[in-house]
Amino acid sequence: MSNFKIENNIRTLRFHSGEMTQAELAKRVGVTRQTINALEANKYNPSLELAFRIADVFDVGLEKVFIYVK
Amino acid sequence: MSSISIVIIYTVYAIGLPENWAEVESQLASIFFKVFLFVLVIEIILGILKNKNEVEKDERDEMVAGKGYRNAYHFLIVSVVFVLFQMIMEDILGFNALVYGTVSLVHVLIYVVLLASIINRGTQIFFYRRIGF
Repeated sequence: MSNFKIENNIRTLRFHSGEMTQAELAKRVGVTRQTINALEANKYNPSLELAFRIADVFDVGLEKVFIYVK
Repeated sequence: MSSISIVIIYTVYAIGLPENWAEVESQLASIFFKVFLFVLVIEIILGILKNKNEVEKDERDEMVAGKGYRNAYHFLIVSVVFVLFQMIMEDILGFNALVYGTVSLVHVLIYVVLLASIINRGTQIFFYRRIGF
């Protein structure tokens, strides 16, 4: 079992993007709202493609959205 | 639910009906018909109300579905190999076969396929509960 974790700032970034809803973000990146919810709860790690799409929506780098915690 | 329904119907068909079946047959047929109609109406309403712009399935759903199919596939392969192997067990090890004859074999294989289907759905429910709906 790996002892690292990938956390994210999606909730904060949504807040700073005019209180964007989970549903709106989900629609823009092409996933279900439940997936965004699972991501924010750190229960699911996205694919690299989805991670880039999320970063693109907020217009920030990937490292600003996802944090690798050792 | 469909797998469980098929198992029940197939079991009734394969094993037979209880002796006092005639007494409850009309009631059960009526209940079955009502439930079927109710489910059909609900499905149609949900289909109409569904938001067409919303994504129905994404990479997370595919991952969960993949895990379900993997577990079901492993169970299916092991079960089919075991069922086929036990037929020649008598010749190799001297034991009597547990399942003997074409009819019994077909029954067992149908149950194995249905159990694999249940394992598939069960695994999906487990992972959806773990990573959140």
